[in-house]
Amino acid sequence: MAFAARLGALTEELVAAVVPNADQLDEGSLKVLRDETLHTLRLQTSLRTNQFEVQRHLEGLEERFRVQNREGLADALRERLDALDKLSYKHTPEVLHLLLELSDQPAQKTRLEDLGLLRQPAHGPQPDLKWEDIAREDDWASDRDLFQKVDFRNDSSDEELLDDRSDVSPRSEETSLSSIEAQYRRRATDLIVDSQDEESVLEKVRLSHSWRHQAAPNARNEGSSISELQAVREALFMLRGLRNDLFNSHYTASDSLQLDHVSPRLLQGLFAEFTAAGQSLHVLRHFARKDQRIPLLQVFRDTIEKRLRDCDTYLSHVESSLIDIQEDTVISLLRVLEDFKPQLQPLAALSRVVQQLGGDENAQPFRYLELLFESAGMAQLESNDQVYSFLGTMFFECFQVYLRPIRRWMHDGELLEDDKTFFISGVQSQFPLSQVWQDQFTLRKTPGGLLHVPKFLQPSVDRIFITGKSVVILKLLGKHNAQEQQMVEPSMDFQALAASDLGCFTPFPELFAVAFERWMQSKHSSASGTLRHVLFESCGLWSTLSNIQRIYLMADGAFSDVFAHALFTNLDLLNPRWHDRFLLTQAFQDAFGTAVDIHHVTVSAIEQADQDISKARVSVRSCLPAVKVVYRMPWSLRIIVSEESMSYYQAVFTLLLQNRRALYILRGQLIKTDGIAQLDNGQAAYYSLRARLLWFCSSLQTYYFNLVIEPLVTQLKDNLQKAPDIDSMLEIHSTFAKRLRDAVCLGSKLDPIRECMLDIMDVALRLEYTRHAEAERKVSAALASTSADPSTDRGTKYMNMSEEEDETFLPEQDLSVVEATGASYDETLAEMRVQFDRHLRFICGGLRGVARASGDLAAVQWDTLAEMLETGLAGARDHPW
Amino acid sequence: MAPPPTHSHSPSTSAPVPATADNAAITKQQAASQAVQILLEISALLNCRLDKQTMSIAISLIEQDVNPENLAKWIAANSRD
Repeated sequence: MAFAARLGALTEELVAAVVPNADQLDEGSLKVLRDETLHTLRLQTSLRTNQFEVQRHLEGLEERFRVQNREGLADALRERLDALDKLSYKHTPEVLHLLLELSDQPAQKTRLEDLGLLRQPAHGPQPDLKWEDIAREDDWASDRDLFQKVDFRNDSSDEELLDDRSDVSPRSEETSLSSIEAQYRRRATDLIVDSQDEESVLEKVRLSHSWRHQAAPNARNEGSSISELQAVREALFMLRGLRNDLFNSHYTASDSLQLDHVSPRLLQGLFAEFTAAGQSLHVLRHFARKDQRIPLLQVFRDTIEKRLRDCDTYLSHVESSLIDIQEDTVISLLRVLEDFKPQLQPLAALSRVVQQLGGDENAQPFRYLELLFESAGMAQLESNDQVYSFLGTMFFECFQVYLRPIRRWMHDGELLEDDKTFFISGVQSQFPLSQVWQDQFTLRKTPGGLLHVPKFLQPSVDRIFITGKSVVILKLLGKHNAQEQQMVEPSMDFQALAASDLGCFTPFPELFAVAFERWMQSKHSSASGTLRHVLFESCGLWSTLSNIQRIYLMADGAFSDVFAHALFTNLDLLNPRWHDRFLLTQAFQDAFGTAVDIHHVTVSAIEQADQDISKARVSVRSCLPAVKVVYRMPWSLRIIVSEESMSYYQAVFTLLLQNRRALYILRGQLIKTDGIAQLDNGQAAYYSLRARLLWFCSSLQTYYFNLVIEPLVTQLKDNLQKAPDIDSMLEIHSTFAKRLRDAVCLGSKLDPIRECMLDIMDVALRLEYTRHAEAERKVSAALASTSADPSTDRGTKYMNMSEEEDETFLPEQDLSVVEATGASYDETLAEMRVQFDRHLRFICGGLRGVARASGDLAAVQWDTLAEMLETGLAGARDHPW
Repeated sequence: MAPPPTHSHSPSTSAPVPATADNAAITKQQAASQAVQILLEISALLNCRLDKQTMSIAISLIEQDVNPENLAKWIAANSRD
């Protein structure tokens, strides 16, 4: 029963302590709650506390605290558990079980400071305070007035208070701890200063500063004197940009103020120098206060602030030396100015730079770098070492920021977004890989067309540009290794450069040029050299150039002849499918299969509706120019071999093919005769013309291959080998292609001459087909007059190369193209001869004339060709037949 | 007012004098008080959010053989935030 009562009472207390607002519940609800609680507590649904489990749980908790870096918490818990163990409280495991059940994320939420709050009331029982202790502490025994009657009258007169104060016993000695502290605590009364004569001292101060109110520029008639110390102080304030009463907002000194021992004129001169100094410093301070958004200008402002800080420090030091005088010191405005001049001079030079910068509203952000550069060079020339060193150091400090985008570009091939100060910009649109080098990046220019770069960097712009592009290409090729390319960067510090082997006497522009050249070498040579190596080795530039020469320049005549003859045969057979791309490509692959990588080559011909194949048999201008050879090379090599160069190659190929066509037709006839005595006039004329045409075409071929292509190709290889970078290689190859085009007379200036050459080739074709026509005519006439076997009257003196293979070749030819003129055979031959001579004379004369008039490099070769062809003219004179 | 009697602890040369019942009670009371204090501190370390009064009541209940787990569940269900 007692147990139940005890339990009931405890339950009531528990409900009151735990349930919120339990005191506001009515009796009935409270009783219900109490009963429920009692019922719940009496239930034994849970297992009994396992003390080992509890101990294990607590140890696990302590370990968790340590793991989660709550060492203090873990130590506190361990300490208390150990203390609890010592007390041997019977119900410790159960209570700990209860606490473990109620714990709520202690590792995250527990604060050790809360433990300290708990400890405060947990002190041991204080000893009882007794009156004896108080009496002993306050020393009542010695205080005689303590128990005297106290007068509580409501009299508040001051005198009485004063009297009371005077009667009051001296302050008792306070012996308590707090009173000991109070004994040494400062009071407000301790700060009272006793001054004998307050008014006179204050008046003296007011009088000494009366000049401040009279420091108006217009008060000339009332001059007031100031001491030199006051003047120095005001001057120092002015120089530090602080408000003062001697100099106005324009840094002009007041005329009304004088020094007693200095003449006004001298003083004004002195003040004028201070004014100039103040104005110079004002320019710098004004610039330093401006907000700058561009990093390049921010660093300039920062360096100016640093120099101004040094100046202010110096002025403060001067001021402190005048205030806290340690030794005999003469206060002198002149001395202050003279001592300040070494500090002032460089700052004045800097101020001029800032003024120049401010005067140009459209100045580029890097304009100040140019001004610093020029000013430093000028200072060096004037042998002003201090200013030179000052400006040179500033220049290199600021240049480091300008160098950052350059470094990033040259090292990583990347540009900063929205960076308008850098002289390289990227085009937003994407280009094909082969055009990245040429078109993806451009040099930024001003609206006036000038490069957007400081003048002192202009000589290096191209190399910087090339290096970055090289890195971009290497990255696209997957060959860029940033680690390999990272060389030690030479220092770009002014002091280090002046102390280096360059010396301090090297002109500043040269000093910078050498330093920057060394810096660039550490970036440029590695990227450009690597890309060259990659193009030559990995991408196969040499083999590609060789293939181009074999294909387009017909360097290997045997392979070219096989392909050309197959094409010519189709043309002669009037094969309507001669232009079929697959046939042409197959013919090419059959010819060049062992020489080039045929899978990269396709040959096609433009199919035109008016392309009359029959005309191709009498003109090299038909069908042959339509044949196009496309050689697919890696995109990286298209950087060197541009589209323009490929068009030149194609033009040369066409010209060589046309010449080969003429030779093919001329050589197609083998002479089968017993001797000259058997020749009639027609045959003699034919042979004569044929010989000249053969000579002409062979001379052209000799000229093309031996005097143009071979020397130029050799020169190309040498120059490419020596080229330092990709742009040089591109330029070299482009020049080679242009010279090749000009030398073989494909340039626009030589159009008439080239047309004449083609006319002569057409004469060759017409000659052969005219001959065939004449032979056919004779055969037909013979057949008509006699019944003899046509094969015996066929021109037995002539045998075609293909006669053994196909005897029906001749009769099946369509000779309508050559039979339209109506002239006789002899007349036709004579007319062809005249044409040939005329064209030849024109070609020789034209080449000579163009060679004389033109300063082109190909002029020498034109002269040579003219000389070669003129022998044909001389031969014609000697042998008119 | 007479000063309180002082307790003198003179060293003994023979067997120790057994503590009186009052002294034992006081010692026991102090030990219990210390235990409560330590448990209160442990409850603070474990973030149980129990004040001293509730802790005392809970300990008393546990001494009356109330199951700690049931008690913890009831307190958790009914406690004020």
